Amino acid sequence: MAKQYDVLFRLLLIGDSGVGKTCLLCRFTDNEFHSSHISTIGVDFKMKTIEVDGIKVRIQIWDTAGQERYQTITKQYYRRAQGIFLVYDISSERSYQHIMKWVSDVDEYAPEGVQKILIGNKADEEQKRQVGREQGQQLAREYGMDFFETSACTNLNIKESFTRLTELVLQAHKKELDGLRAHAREELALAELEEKDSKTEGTGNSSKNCWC
Amino acid sequence: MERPPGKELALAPLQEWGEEEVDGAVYNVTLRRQHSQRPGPDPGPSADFVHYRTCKVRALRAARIERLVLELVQGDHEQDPAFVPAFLATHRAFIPTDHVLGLLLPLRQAPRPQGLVRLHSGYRALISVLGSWLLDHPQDFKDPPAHPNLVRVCTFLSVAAPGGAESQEAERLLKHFQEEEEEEEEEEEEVAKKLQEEEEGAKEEEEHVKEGPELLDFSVDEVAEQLTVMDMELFSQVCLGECLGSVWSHRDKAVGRGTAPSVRATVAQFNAVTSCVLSSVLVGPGLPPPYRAHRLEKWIFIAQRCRELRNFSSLRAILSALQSNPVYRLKRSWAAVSREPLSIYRKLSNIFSDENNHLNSREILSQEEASLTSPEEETAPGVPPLKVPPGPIPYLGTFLTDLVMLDTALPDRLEGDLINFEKRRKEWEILSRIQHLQRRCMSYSLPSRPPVLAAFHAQRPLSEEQSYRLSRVIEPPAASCPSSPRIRRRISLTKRLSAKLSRERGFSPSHQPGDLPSPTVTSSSAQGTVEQPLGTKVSELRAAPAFLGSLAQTSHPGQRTPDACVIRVSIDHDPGNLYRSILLTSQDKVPGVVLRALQKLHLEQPQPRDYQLFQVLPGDRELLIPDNANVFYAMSPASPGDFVLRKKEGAQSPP
Repeated sequence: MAKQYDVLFRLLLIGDSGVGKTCLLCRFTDNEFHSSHISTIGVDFKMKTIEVDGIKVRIQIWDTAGQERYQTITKQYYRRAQGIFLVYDISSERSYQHIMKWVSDVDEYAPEGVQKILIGNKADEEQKRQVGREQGQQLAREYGMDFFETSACTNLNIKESFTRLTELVLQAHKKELDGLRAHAREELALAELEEKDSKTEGTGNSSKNCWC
Repeated sequence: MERPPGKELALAPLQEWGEEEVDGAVYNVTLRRQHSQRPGPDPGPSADFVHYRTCKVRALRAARIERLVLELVQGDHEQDPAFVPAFLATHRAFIPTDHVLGLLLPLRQAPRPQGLVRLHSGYRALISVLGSWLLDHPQDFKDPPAHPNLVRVCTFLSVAAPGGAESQEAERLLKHFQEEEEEEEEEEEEVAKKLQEEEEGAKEEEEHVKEGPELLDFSVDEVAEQLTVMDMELFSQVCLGECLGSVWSHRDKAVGRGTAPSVRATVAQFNAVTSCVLSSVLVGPGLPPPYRAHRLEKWIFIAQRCRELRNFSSLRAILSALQSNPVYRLKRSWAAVSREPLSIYRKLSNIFSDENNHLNSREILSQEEASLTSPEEETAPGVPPLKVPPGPIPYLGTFLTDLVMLDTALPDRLEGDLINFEKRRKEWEILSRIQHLQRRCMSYSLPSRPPVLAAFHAQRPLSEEQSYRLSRVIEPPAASCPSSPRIRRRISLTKRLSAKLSRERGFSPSHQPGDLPSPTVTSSSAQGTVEQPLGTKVSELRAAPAFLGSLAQTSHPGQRTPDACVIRVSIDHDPGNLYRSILLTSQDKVPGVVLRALQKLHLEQPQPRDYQLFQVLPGDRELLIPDNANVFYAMSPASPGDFVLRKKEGAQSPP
């Protein structure tokens, strides 16, 4: 199955462990992974192509869940990401407090111009809520980010937030791209690329629901 | 009729058949082609024929807990050999150990004596399950102080199979736990005592640092081997159950705090190694680039040696430290690294490329694992097995992420509230690999070298912020050296974008040939304008060596050249061999430095004129700094750190 896309972006999910980063990812990609690959190349459901403003954007999502405590590992991904989800759990005040630390890491390690978006996950757990919606909004305002409350369980704002971040990345790079076209007159038409069947594109388990 | 053997293999030995539901339990059914046992007693000419029969193999896929526990003792473990190990390794994710025991062990503690003569086959299976459980997951039974589960198992086994191997194992384990606790108590007391002493000592003189050899003073082999000794020890003690996504990924929650200590310990060791690399590379702000490059080279060689020792944990730790921002951005130092180590560094870094979901490191690990089995298997009987290298020790993080992903992707329960045991089987596939690697690790026989270990543990960790500040003092952000790898690599915006847009594959190659294996798409301007990090933890600052704190305060980002450095001054007749750290600026002359050192050394009525300042050089040489010289410029930058004060001959004042 050949896949076509115009542009590839790398997005990164960061935040404390247990805030549901992998759940978001898994919900977004409809659990698109081949169970047979698990033992050989690990679980990999990190690619998805979406269309934004008529542009087919292939997004590769990095999730280092499980490796948050390795101090140098996650940061290696920062430098190559174009967009970053900062995720906290609305039922954990602590995970919200830690967003500051994650933002400072991003400021330090990610390239300038990286697009960020704040996510308050587990919005379905209203009865356990420790972080108000307004608190999330305010934090997002302070850092100049967009904000979404999401729930992987009820599928709330999953697609919206991924699409939004992709839009932001696209906008940021479109500017560069337009400028480039004007100045360099280089043949840089968004490449129509053929992609060989990617290993990550499974169909077998796609009907499965994400369990969170 | 003879068939070529290849044709036999062309048929898949296993075939998925479907699902079956029996009494509320769901089974996976596969068809397996097996060699059948020939019924005839004498192997006649028909031995040329290969007989096959097709077996229907049922494997429990989902069921209620009672049914799963029953399967432990009643299941056909030949047909489904993974069931028991998968259940034992993962059960804590869906049922506490004491519940399993509650279902497993009969209410009557044991069969009546006459029952012992002809043990019910169920009992035999039960005893064998308990035996594997005790051996493979002893930590499941640790529940201090009373260890009620273990006591229960002991009691059962002592009646059901007195004197048996399982019973002995249970007794041994109980004794072991009890001894361990006693030791721990003693250790705790000692640690508390030590801490108190240290605190008192610290109050007296905050800058006391016992001088010992630095880790990099030891040989490449020694350092790599000792890192491997530590990694091996910790990795072999990892409890499989703690790696499960449902356990490990919730470690930071209130309920899960303190969970997964054995996994935490490996991560802490990994971080200690990276920290060690950082602090040893970021020493002496005034150190000229060739000397710092030498330190980088030494770490590259240590990494290479770790690779040879098949220690992928420390290998990755060292590489990730070298690739971390504070070290990676030291363009001048990197520019001075020789070609050979640089090429080794690139090759090693390539192992951990994230392309195709870390396919490279996964494959290399598999190959390393396989290299151990094949020679042994192929060796003819009687011929001593070839000597094969021990290990490999894996980087655990990849497994942890896989397990978190699995845990997220697969539901714990299926329709009808059945436990999804298929999920546990998938988890067990990964856990059994870890277990396999753990067993391989036992074959390392590296001697422990306490002085190297002491030097490793003596390394003061730097906080992220400190590392970064130090890095910026060493090479201020504005400075850009034309020969640096980054600049050499810096490609125009046009090229970067076109590269970005025309990546042929989903997994775009991020490393151009000839690049330093580190992310390249970063624009160079990002480096120059790094914001002051927010939210530095107080604890990090407190843990910082005092001299770093003072250095960090005096060095501002954007400073053109490093005009300050920290030196360590000791006094020749000091029995404790202690030194004081002094911040040296380009304005400091000998008398001022000597006076400050004497004051810091708490000498009463210090007489700077009575002392001479010597810089300690490699090879037991010393450089006398002339009395009125500017110390900053007079000192040899090659080994800038250490100075000693010696009393001039004929000086009057008391020491």
